[in-house]
Amino acid sequence: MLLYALKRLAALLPTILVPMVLLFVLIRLAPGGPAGALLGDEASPEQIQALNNQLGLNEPLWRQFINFLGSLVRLDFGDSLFLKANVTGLVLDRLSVTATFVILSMIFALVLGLITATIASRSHNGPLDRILVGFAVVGNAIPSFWLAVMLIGVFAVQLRWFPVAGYAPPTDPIAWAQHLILPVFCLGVLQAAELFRYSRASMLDSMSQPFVATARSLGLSDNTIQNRYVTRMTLVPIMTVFGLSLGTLLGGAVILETLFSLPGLGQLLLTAVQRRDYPLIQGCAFFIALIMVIANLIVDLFYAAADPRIRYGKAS
Amino acid sequence: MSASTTRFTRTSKALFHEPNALVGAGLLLLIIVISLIAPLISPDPTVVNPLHRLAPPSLEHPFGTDNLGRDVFALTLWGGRASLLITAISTAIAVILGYAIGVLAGYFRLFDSIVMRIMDGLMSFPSVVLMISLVGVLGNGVIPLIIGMSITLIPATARLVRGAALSAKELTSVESARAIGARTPRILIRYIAPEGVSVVIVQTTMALATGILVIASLSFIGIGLDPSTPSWGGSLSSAQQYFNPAWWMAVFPGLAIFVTVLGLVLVGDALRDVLDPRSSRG
Amino acid sequence: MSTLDITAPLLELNSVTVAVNRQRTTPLELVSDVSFSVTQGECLAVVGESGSGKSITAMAIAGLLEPSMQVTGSITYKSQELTELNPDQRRALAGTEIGFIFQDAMSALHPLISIKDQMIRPIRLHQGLSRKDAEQKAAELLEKVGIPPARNVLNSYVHQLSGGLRQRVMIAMALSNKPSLVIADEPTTALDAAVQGQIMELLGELRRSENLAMILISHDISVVARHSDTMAVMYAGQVVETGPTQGVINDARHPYTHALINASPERAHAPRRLPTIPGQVPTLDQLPPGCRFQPRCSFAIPDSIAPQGMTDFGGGRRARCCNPLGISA
Repeated sequence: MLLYALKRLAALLPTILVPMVLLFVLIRLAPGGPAGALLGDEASPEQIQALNNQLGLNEPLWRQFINFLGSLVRLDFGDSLFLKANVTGLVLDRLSVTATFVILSMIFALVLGLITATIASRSHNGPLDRILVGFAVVGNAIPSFWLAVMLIGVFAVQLRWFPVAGYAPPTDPIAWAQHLILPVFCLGVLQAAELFRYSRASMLDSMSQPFVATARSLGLSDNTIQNRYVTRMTLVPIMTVFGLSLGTLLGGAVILETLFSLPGLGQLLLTAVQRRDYPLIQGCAFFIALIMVIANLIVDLFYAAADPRIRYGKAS
Repeated sequence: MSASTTRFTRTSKALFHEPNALVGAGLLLLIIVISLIAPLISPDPTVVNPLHRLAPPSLEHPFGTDNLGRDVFALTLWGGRASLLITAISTAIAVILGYAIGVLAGYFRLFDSIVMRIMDGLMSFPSVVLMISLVGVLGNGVIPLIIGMSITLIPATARLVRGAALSAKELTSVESARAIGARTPRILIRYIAPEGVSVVIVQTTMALATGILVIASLSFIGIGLDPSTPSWGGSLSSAQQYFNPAWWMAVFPGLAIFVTVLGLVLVGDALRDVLDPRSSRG
Repeated sequence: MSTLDITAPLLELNSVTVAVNRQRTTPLELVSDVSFSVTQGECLAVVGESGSGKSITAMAIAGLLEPSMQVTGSITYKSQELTELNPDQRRALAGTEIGFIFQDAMSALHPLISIKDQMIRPIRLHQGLSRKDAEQKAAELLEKVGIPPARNVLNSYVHQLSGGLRQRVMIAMALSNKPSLVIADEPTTALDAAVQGQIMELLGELRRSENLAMILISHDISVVARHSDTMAVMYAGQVVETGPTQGVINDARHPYTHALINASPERAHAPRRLPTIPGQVPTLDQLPPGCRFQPRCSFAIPDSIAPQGMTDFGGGRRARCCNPLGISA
């Protein structure tokens, strides 16, 4: 099990390294050099020189790359050019908001996706099934931010049930929940549509497996078979889809954070991009990649827990 | 040649019997035609008219006007032009490069182990975040968007084609071609590459859908496209503050994104069912 | 069961037909007019090629058919008409009266649930035992099918077991709630030749020690000859011949039975080439008129194109043939 976890960790390293190296290269390819791109045409040579010194861009390229790798290992990306503070500190301040937002949305998506898939697969080709499948197709095509704009319009602006935007710390649980319900719903419900499609297909597939006939031949009830045998079988493929959809979820979270003014990583990344604050862009990208790695690792461990064939290393 | 022609006719016939595919193709056609002829049938969307701010839908302004008095109907018709063009170009680049990478990775093991690691790394990084970061580094504008978008879309195509190429490599026809001394480039072009065609066709629709959504997301948060260029995402972002009373500002541009993506998803799903029944999701 | 008439069959099928609903056309008969019976402690073999309807018949008896399949005719078990029971009543019999052993234990057992958890759930359901007692019971059952506790099979998953062990677990599960009738659907087909014999021996022993009635579905004439008391031969959805196994095998009435026995490797006398039956099994939606075997039969006569009923030849022998073998005219 530990060996498996280490192996998965090694396989996930490119998730961090590749985007970071890509950013490293592209920053240096910017026309007029990164400092020139940053300061604009009016900058004096002295200003450019000073900025290059600050960013370590005067050193030979190989040296810069070594420094860059070192910064990844030390989790130190220097100071933000715009916010004048240590990047890692800035990011860590915002991490918990993003993490809460994403995790709550994940749970909501999983629960909603699984429940609807169970209902649909049990009434296969019935009216309820068709309606849910229709919803899922539609849900797959709705941009999360459009849904968010509409829901804010109706439920926050018109009906005033929820605040329009903003965040409250969990020390005030009621305000905290009020601020999170809309964003979590918007992000989760569309993710649930995707999960629903795969879970339903997988449940229908499991229902025709021979072990279902075995369970019936032993007199187990349809409910027991569905809840204990079919759902169990479905967990593994759902985990796979879930792992694959984490990227969409995190991407959606970044956009929705800016819309709902949640002080998380997405908002910070947007500030960084608007100011072309290279160290801050790199820091945000790094920690988002790190979240992806950790989330994938958690999915992998769940995966192993759900499937003994993986746990005992017999999976091909 | 005749084999590919019959496959094409067979595919189009099968698609014709699929109601979802027809609806999807119809929606797509609608969006494409509207985007092409927008300059002929609608007023200039950039004209600001402070006297007609936030006017509700009327005969003169079927979708109403926005906070600057611009015609929302015109904005919606024009809003897809830039993003569709950028997405189409990036998808073309990504599909061609991804296809080549996938075929090579499927055939050459060393290339596979190095390049696919990079592809995996890119793919597991959230595409929206990757795009935001790349545009952040490269700056706003059409060219950075196309570069960033292509990089974002390549890995999925490469991965799928690689899978098809890997199984093609095991085909007896490839074995026998190798046995009679066919050169590697010939094997790649004649035997391996055609196996990836179905996958690439399906993947193209998915890449287009991703592209539309990502560009819309970026314009929504004000990154990438020049804010003065009409775009669905941009229109939505100004609609936020004016939902009450100007709901029409939010409804119509959003509907346009939805219709485009829905069309692509429906066509893509139907194509997958017809071309690649194994991976169909029921 | 002292009230039960011991001469009456445990299970009796009378003109059982299974049809599946089709879109826009009449239902398709998968199994037509099947009649046979099994008494307590007896082993009936149902023989036929794949697609002959033997598995569908077995599923119909066990109540495992899809809802889209309809059973007509009568299936009586211990004087109870099974076709009239509601799903809950059927379920109460599953496992406790009728046990089912599936062909491929690898897919018939759940891959992600431990053997122990799969075994104790039905035991607890039907016998109301505590978890601990049920585990004890499961261990005893495994010993009974020849798996010593030292093998630690209970804590394993199906992919960790060999083919023979898997099938033994499958048998233990089928017997866990003491059924009187066990249906074994090709129980050894998925196994190596060496293990096949052991499993058949085990089934024979269990049948004697528990006084079980058994329906053995098989396409292997040699297995049938060695292990069954009576047999029924199925062809294209119908039973074409029934009777005591030795009688049927040594002196078949129906030309199809004859051909099937001669096509079996152990029965063939010619060293080089096995005799084959000319032509192909008809598909169920394109059946020939009258006798379903008639287009392939070298003994066909003009009467063969008329519908065929079962003819009684005495001594429990019956065949669906108008020009039977071994009867001098």
